Amino acid sequence: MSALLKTVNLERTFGAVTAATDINVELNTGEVVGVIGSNGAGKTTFINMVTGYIQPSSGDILVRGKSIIGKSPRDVSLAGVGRSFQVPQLFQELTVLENMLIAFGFSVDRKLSFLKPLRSKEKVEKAHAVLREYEIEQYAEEVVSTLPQGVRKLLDIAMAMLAEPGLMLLDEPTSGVAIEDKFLLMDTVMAAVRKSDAATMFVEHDMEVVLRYADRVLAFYDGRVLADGPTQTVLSDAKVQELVVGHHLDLSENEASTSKESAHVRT
Amino acid sequence: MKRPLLTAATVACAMTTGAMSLNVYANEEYKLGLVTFLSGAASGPFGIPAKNAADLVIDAINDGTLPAPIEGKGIDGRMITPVYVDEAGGATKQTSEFRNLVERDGVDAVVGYISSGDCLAIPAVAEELKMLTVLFDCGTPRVFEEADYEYVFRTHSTASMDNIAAARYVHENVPNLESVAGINQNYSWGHDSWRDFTETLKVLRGGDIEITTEQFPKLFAGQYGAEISALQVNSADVIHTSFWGGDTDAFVLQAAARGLLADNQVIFTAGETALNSLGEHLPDGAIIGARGPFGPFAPESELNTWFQTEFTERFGTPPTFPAYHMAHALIGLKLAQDKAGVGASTEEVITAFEGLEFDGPGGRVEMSRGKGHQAATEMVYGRLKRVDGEITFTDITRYPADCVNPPEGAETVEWIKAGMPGAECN
Amino acid sequence: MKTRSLALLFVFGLVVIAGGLLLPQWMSYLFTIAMGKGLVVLGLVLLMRAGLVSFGQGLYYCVGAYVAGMLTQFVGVTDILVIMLASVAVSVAIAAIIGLLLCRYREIFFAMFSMAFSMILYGLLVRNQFLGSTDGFNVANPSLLGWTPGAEASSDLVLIVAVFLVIVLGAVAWRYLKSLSGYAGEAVRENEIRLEYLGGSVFRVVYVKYIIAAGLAAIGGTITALVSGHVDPEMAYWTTSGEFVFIALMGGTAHVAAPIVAAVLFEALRTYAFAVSPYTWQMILGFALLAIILFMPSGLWSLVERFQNKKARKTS
Repeated sequence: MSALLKTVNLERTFGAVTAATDINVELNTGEVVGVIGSNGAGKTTFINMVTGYIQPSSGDILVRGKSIIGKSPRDVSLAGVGRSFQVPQLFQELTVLENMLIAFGFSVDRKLSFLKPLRSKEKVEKAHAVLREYEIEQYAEEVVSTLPQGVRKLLDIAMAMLAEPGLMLLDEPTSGVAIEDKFLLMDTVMAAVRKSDAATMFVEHDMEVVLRYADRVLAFYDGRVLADGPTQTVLSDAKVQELVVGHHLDLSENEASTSKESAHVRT
Repeated sequence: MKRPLLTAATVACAMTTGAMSLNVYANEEYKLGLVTFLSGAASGPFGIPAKNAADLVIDAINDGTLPAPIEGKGIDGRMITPVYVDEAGGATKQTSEFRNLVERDGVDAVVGYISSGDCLAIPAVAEELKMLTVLFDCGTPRVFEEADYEYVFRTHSTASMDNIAAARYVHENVPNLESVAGINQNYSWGHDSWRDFTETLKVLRGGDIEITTEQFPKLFAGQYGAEISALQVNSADVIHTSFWGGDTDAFVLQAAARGLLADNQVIFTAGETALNSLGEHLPDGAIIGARGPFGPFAPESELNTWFQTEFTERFGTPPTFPAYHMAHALIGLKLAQDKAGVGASTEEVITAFEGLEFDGPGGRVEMSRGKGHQAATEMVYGRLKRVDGEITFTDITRYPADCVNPPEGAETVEWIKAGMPGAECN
Repeated sequence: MKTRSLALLFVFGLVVIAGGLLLPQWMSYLFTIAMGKGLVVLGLVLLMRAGLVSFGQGLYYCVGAYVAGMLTQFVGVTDILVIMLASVAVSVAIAAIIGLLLCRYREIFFAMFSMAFSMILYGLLVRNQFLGSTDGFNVANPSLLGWTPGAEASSDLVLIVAVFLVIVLGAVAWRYLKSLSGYAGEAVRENEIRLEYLGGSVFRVVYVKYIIAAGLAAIGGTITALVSGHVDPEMAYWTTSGEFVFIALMGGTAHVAAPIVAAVLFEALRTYAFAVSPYTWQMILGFALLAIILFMPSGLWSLVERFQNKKARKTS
């Protein structure tokens, strides 16, 4: 069985600047991968290439064995790659429910209907069910621009997940979210993700989050993959600690993450 | 739709406010709709002079102070009350306003229209509403060539007359005429003028005339640098232009500065309106037309003297051809009404108007074309000459009506190309 | 749509038609023109809800009018149904081609490009002597399925057809705005990137709306041509398109009825401005627009929404 995602010698340059180079990564169903690295290390470039937002200068990206080079973000989404955004990309002046209904219409129904009303009873119920799962149901009738960042992030992720992508990319899911809410948010998100059996890759600056939720870590530095392996291994690696993480991380979260790992393996 | 009642109410309110203004007109007034350009580029050279002439002549008719043979006070024994409408907004808007004049304001007749577009759209509505309408200034020959109208009259010649006469004038007065060039505005007036001029000239010269260049700048372009260069490079014996208004002013100033006017003969078919503002820039020898026997070309008469004196005194400038056109339309209407008698029906006035021959400040008007609905007058051209700072004219040639107007029933372009059969010139 | 609302709408349509026929001729004429313009603005509103302001609807308005004119005057076809179909078909065909280029642009570029295309048509018509150049030409009276009304009755015929079309197309548009396509417009306006990532095609959404707007504009142009009996290139001039935008701003984009009501009010306002101040009527219109922009930026329909106690929702 081919890997869900495979990048081969992926490279991207912007003029004289090499944003990413020699990226060879493989991802399989069910994996949860944390992507770390300081700003400018190449993480966002990598995500943008994998979701079709920018094209690599050389190399190949294969989703389920098929190349997605040259495909637009739309085609990449239809190929089963979902993405959430660092700054939630939502329909600001519409309500949460309307956002969900539109997402349903495009991701799930995939038919541009002209006369069938968007707000049918069953669609609304389905939308509510999803909102409930993400624990934001009470905001259904609120206009998005009035909501706190955490709610917007959850909505952003919920909308991306609707199409049941095989691969879900989360771009800094907890950034801008209050510290005490970070774990709550990630619990909700990861629960939904695990239910769908999607492979997940999330970019994070918060190492606590990475430790707690990722099985595997990709560490970027200076446009290259510095390390790729199980969370504990990568985070205790000397080079990674020197260039990316720093030495202050408390790795005694060991037990919690291991039990999560085994729990995951069982499902 | 939510709250259809509310929408209905909103619409109904809008309509009712309109209905409430429906006037019941007093029978002692003769309400006259007057449509002319009160705003926009055509108002300066045409619309306002016409309106001024209307005010002057209407007051004179009401007071009975017009010289003989025009007599009696008012029209049909009633005092004239003008209802002015701005001709701006395009033909669709004007048909709408025409209906308002007839149905909302209840006018007895309508005199108006400078734009050819309006003159083509209004007659159909006038016929439908059975409203006596006198077109007073537009140039297109198409009105009575394309259809017959019972309720519509035009008391001045078409613009084709201007250009047929222009061709005759240059043919007769420009020695060794071999080539012509043209600069005309890029719309129907400009295109039709140039076409009538060149087609007539081809017939008169037996095809032996060269067109060096034809320029069609955008209406109201204002900048003619490229066109003037083209005219200088492709020099011709005569340059023809039907420019009017601000375009004439701009063109003359720019052309004079570059020596185009000094080096070339130019014929301005509608140049009379610019004489007042541009006098000193127009060189001696420039050939000027006034769309008929108007302004400086009007024949001597008591009526013309009265018109010139009163107009200049009241408005500060002498009357130009739009003013004359308006005077003719009003006087024609009055005389037709007088001939039909007090209390006559519209149809009786129409019968009196058909084929009417009368004298206005610009001389004789014969309603001899378009089955008695379209006028034919003589056309006059002269060369500008400044004498002691005063504008005078030399080499004035008068072309009789039957020389330069296509005969009854003829279509202008066909008539010209056929060699102008039946033309009676001196 | 619920049968009760449908029935109500039908009755309302009959009332309006009856009212239109009973009004004095000059009023029902204005009303018919307003219905025509209202349809053009309805199309414009569909585009505005997607964040695109077209300054070139005059192109299709003029195409519709000229097709109607040419069929009646040169080909002798006067059946109003045939004329409508032909106008819409030609307009939609043109929009399908132009839209391939135009719908890739946004904001000021879209506005300018759309204006450019309408001015190209204007230029072509002005140069064309056969179609009367700037003078245009007259349009013969329409007929319906063999019945040829006289001159007066044909205005009534056009009025009835106009109101009928407004009601039907308005209802369809109302339904459309509640569908995914309709909402997609607002999604495009709010966040194109998101729509693409959801698997939606932004281009397709905009393209479809552009074509619909062109069809509506053609119908509006046909109505105007048939009731006024005249067409001229001025219909494609940018100021005509500007007038449609003016009306759209007057009414707002909140409801399908807004453009229709705004068109009626605009025609009424303009004709009164003409009557009240023949020298300065433009100023009255200018002040009216200024007042609306200052006090009711969501258009006149926001007054109706206040009545309904709706939360004022930004729709444009």
